[in-house]
Amino acid sequence: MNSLRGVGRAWTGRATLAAMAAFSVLLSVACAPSGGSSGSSAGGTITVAQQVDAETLDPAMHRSRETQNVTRQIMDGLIEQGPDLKLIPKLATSWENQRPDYWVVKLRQGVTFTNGEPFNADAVVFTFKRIHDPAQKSPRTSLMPTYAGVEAIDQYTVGFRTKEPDAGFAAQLAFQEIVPPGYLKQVGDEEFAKKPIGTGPFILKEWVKGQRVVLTANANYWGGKPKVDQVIFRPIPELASRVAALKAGEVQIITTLPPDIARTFTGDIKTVGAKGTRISFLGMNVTQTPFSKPEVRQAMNKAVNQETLARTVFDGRAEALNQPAFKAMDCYDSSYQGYPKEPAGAAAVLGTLEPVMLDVATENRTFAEAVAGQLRAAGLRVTVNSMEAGAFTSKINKGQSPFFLHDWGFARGDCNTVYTTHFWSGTRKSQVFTGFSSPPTDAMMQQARTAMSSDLEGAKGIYRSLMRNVMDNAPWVPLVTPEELYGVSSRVKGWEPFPSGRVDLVQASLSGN
Amino acid sequence: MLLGASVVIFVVLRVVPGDAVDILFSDEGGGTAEQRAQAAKDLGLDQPLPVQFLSFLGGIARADLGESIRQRTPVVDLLKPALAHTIELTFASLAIAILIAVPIAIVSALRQNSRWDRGGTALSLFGISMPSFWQGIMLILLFSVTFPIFPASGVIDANSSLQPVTGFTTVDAVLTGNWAALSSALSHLVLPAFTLGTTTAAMIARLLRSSLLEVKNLEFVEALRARGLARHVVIRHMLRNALPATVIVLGSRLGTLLGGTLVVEVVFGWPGLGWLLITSLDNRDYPIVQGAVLLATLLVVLSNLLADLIHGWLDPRVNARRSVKT
Repeated sequence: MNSLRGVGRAWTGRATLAAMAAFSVLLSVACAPSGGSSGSSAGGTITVAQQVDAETLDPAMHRSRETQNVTRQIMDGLIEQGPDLKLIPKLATSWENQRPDYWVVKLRQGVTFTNGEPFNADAVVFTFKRIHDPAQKSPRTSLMPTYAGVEAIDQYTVGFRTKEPDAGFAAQLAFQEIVPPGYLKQVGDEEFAKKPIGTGPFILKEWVKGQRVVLTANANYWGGKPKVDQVIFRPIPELASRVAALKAGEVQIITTLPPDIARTFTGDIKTVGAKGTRISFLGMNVTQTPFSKPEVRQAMNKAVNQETLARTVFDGRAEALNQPAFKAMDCYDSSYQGYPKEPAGAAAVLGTLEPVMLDVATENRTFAEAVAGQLRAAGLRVTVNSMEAGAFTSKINKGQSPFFLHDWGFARGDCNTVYTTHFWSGTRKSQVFTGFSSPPTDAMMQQARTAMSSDLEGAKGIYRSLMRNVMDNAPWVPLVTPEELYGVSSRVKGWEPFPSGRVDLVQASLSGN
Repeated sequence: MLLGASVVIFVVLRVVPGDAVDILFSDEGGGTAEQRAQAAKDLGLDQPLPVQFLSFLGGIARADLGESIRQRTPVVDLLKPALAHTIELTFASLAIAILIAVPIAIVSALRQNSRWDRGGTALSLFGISMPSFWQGIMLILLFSVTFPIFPASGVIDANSSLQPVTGFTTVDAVLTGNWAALSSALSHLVLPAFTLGTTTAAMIARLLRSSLLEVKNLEFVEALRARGLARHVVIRHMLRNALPATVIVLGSRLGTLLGGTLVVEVVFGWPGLGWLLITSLDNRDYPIVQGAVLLATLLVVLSNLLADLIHGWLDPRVNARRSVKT
């Protein structure tokens, strides 16, 4: 055995040495400078880390915000939605609701796509007809629910027809980029989805799926050359890894930042927020016990204190809601006081109920626990049931959840979308949610939609009545609209986030280059 | 086995709650019943399940796994690069695992019950018990943020200008002579491979230590020593006898290893099969999930086969027994 011990010692030494040698060779190669990640030119490179990669680069074939963040750099829309949700001209210079169901849009002249193809009415007509062509199978048609057709009036004027009077139609145009018809026909849909061109501030250099989209500044951009030379979008799914990449200086902007992480940023990393456009709410299925009783739903509204939730769960980075609208929306009624906060009074109703379960998608679990805490304080016996997002979506779509916490994006800031999607009986066929359906509410919605195109103030009045009608029926407890939060390197200057979550980098620059 | 796997994954995907159309229309404009029905038709999801399954099987027979619901790209085109990244990560992690495990196993076995042995065993236990996602994030914090030596995520530097040849980043860098890209690719590989490798290392170390302990007391070891063979030669003979069992167990555990890549790839933003699977599951992108699971099954089968072949090569008695039987 002694000799074996000797063998062991000798081998221990050799094996350890061999392992260390191999490892150090690997490390020395791996740690060598690797070409620099910040680009070599003066303007520098801004790298943005998002949760997921672009699904496609064809703006007609996705419904993903992360995808649009990329396509919007390459292609412009007719209209842009500014930081205050007001519409800003881009490729359109003006727009007018000429008739209740007809919009005339004047186009910017002298703009070309990056292959030299002129931007004109034909490009606009081609873009929108392509999206609404059934053969194209575009998933974006439902984002323009009132679109009926488009036509070229002259070389730089187009007309949009709507199925019904729609005063908010122009906002729908802000979510679609214009594609070059000649180039697209030449290369085909499949190739265009990989290598698109547009009139935008950046030109696609390279898209390596799952790794990066590299864009270079368009020196001939009609709106002025971007200040940075290069923009890179990288997918980093794990939040902790996104934050680490930001702290390590590998990326300069990270998206989808929760407030509890945002508050930890100091020094070279800062949190930048924009007023959000997502409304979170408690949904109560009015067809199922115990929420079939209006007094129960109203008591729930009295039991939840949105101000406290905004302050504690969201660290003050959220707007407390007392109605199904946030302040930036046209129909927001600042005179409405909402339900009084009376947990003790609510307890008289809620304390008598059987235990209920609050369904929630996993990512909203912490928020749901805080809401459940307030409800428990008001006597409701409630447990939180968190589930995978896809399973949650299907459950509430099918009306199988009596009680749920959900959030919904309203990037257009358009009240019609809120009411049509959540309180109109027609939508309950495909998305049951709370099952709320009321003929008087439907009639008021129709009146409001019609009035919007002819009498904006009158329409606002109808929306106020509609809101009070919905709040009296109380299928929801509106909760909060959280800010859109980003982690940003202090080297990034001149960048402002948008409420819709869009990342616009034209004005952004990088200090220290 | 592949047919079984395809049936299971097809059925499981349809049984779990949530469907692609629900998720597609789960925000902003929502969608009317007509629009949702049209989307289901466009995606072929309105067909009865047996028809969808037969179409899926027919596609497999033609090496056509369909088109991604969200990315509108042939699934095969998405799986190819993802597979290359996963294989590259797995091999790198195996290399690291062997570098760590073999010396630990030898020291532990030869100095049984010593401090070295107890230390090695404790280290192995720690390696097996440590969750990959935690270890990955700790490594990122330590080696990317506190001491910025390695990149926190990704496969290669965006400005490396690497021309793809095989899809394996390091191999392509060598083939094209792009040494800057090689350096970048290796530096990106270190942390995820180490994270994945430590679990495997712990497993190998424990297995190999046990096998070496069995071999150590066999008569032939004493005989070799009695003949005056050099110490390292004795060790080599011991390893030769101890390795087959380790290789076989390792081969059969490859499924677990692939499961590990799932977590590690997400933590390190590594665009391999695991990542593709996770993001596709979120969107209920059935064709990708089906394709990825099928490919993972194929990998497990092939790795078992490879383990058998290596077993035969390491242990000539296996081939001899087979020859006698035939």
